[in-house]
Amino acid sequence: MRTKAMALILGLLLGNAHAVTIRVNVLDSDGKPIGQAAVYATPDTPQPVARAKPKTLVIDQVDKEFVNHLTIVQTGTPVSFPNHDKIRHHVYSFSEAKNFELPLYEGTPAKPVVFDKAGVVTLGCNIHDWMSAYVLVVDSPFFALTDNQGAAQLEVPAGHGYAVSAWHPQVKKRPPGNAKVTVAAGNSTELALTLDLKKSFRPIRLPATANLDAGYR
Amino acid sequence: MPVTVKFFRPFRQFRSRLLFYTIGLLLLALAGVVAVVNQVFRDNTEATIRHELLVTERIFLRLLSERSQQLTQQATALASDFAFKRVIATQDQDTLTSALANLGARVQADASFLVSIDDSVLANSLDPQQNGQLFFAEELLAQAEAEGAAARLMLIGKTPYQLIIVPVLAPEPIVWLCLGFVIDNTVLAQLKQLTQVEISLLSEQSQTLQIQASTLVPSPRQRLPLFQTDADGFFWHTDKDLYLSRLVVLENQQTGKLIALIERSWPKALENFYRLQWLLLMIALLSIGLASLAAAWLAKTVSKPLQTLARGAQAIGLGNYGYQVQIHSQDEMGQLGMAFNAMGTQLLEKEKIRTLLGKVVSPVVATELLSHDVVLGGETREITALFTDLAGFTSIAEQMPPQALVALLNGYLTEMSSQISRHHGVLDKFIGDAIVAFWGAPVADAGHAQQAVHCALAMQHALRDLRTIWRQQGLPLLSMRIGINTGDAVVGNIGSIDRLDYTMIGDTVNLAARLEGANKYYGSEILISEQTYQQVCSRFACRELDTVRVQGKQQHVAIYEVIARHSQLTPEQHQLCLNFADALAAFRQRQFPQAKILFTGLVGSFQDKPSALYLQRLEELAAQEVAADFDAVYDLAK
Repeated sequence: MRTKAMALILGLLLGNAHAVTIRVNVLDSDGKPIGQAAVYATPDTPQPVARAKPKTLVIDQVDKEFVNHLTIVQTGTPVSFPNHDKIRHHVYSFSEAKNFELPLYEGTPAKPVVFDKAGVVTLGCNIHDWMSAYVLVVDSPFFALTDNQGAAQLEVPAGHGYAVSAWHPQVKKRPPGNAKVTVAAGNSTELALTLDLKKSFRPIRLPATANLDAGYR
Repeated sequence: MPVTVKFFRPFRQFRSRLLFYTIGLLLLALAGVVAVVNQVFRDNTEATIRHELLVTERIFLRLLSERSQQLTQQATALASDFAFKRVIATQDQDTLTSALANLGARVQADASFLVSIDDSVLANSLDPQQNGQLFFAEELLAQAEAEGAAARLMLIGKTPYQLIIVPVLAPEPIVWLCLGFVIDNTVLAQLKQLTQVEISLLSEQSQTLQIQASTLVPSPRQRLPLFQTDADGFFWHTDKDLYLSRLVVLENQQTGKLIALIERSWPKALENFYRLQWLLLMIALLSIGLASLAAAWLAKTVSKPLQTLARGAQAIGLGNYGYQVQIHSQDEMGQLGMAFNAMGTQLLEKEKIRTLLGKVVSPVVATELLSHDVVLGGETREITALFTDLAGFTSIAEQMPPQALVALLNGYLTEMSSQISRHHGVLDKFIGDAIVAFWGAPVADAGHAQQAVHCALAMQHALRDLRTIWRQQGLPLLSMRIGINTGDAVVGNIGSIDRLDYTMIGDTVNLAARLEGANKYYGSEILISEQTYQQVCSRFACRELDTVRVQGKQQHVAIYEVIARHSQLTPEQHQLCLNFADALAAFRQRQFPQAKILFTGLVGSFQDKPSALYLQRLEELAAQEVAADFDAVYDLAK
């Protein structure tokens, strides 16, 4: 909803009433839909965008997990990491796109982290190996997450060419590729993107019944 | 002579033979037992070792895998070092290398690598030249990517390593941490402690086996043929020992094979068996010793009574029938001893009967009787019968006390019967002072007549010796008359079934008896019939005394007086015989005057009693007319 709203606002800001919907289906190599994949469209010609001060996004830590697991932000977006647990967390990232640490803290850190460089930022917690989250930083306001059917809709202004890309934390090639160029004329366009996923590979939290909040399996 | 007899000649003694066979059989049995035990033990040991090696192989692989897991856990713990993650984020080469060395030292890794997500070496502890190059074990990285971690035995250069690869997670893998642990003698020694087998690590590169590490000291020179690598287990010799071994391929990669050689020392495995062999040897020696003692004892229990019996048999062979063997055992030997003694007793009894029989009857007859079944009956044989009598015994018997008489008679009869025995005659019976004997039965004897006459002369000679004794004792001097006749007679066992004599009956016997009596008439000592004379004249000098008619017989019989053996004939006796023959011839030719002169001369010269008889006959003839048919034959005087 938030994405649609943003697209709408952007469309309005551009003063172009002709918005086109790009329907994207993300499938894996077996043709199965991939849910919770990021989809974003980058216009061929950079458009002068009159940007308002970006709104601060939030990635919560609830019950020793990041919420959400994947967050897409446009470059320059600040993100806050409020801690809702009674214990401290130590959020960090060694990713090239954003290398930062929020050493052991409680509550909401004073300053949000601004993601000013496009790329994938992998988030972790130094004291909870299983905690992980991703922030996909893109140079575009047109992005969305696929639903459980692997479908997403991007509302973009008509009359431009877009490179539509998809990304998922388990995608095999790390610098997100897998882009397809599509020129949207006047009508809604539908396209399918295929991602090669690998096995999820990270420490996984033990079941709560074990009454241990750390461990591997 | 058969070979076997020759072969066993050294064992003349029963004891030696028994010992030989007992110990021989025992040795055979023991040898068999040892051979079987040896084979079975070796087979079992080999099978056991083969099985143990198989089990050991599994344990060995399991231990390796557990070691991998352990090392992986260590590496994983290391990889979670947050400071190290920060260092990685700096991407400062020197810091990275230093931090990696520090990390490796924490777990005493022999080699450490840091590999980027795109498989190039970021830092390593072995060779700085490798930095920036593609990591040599890409397969292992792929495995780590797929499984979260990977471990493998690998040669780096020429050194075997156990390589562990784990990701450094932030929280996604940002680099690969690869730790290498050299597999050397120390590691194998630890494995040996757990598995109790010798372990060597071999590498196979370009068809040659290289020993990398070994628990064998010193490391064996390699002589392992390649083709046996998948064998079920095989024997091979190191420089000093024999091993039963098994090859386990640990890694088979394009760069080369890593093979574990697990083996057990064959002599050590057989140590128990050698102990058993000693035990068997001890038991063998003990049982041989005991068997020898038992055999010796057995031989003694058998041979001692046998020797006793042999002595007994010898004694009995020598006629000592009273010999009794002393065997007191209750077994078969004892029974044999009892049987032997019973046999001796029987023989003694039989000998007693034989001796007694010899006293009752003539020894010759006794032998004959004992050698056959005694049956009543007889047969006609030519024999020579001899009768004797003591002249005037009846009259002196009335004058002497009975004991003296019996003593006198016994002395006489003993002497005479011994003469008869000596001359192989059969003493038929004593009838008071008379003796009846015969020759020619039961044993046929061609010289029976000669023997009888010879015996008669010997008896007369013996009597002369007796008379010398009698004279010294003041006893009456007795003379003996002997009559001998030869001819057919029935001889045999005559009597009842309970009581019988071996005796003779017939005219021949009667004539002998009559001739004995006729001595009184002629004044002679030994009279023989014409039949006897025919058979003895060649050896004995005899003179014809008369021709007589025998009652119941048509034929006249000439009777002769035995003078002496030809060889012992004196000139006087010879003269007497010649003169008497002349006189007798004259008498028979009825030249009575001539005969009277000659007989008178004989009486004068020799005091010849027959001549005196003839002078008496001449007087009788002169007193009456001589019958025309005078044939000079007289009835045999009774």
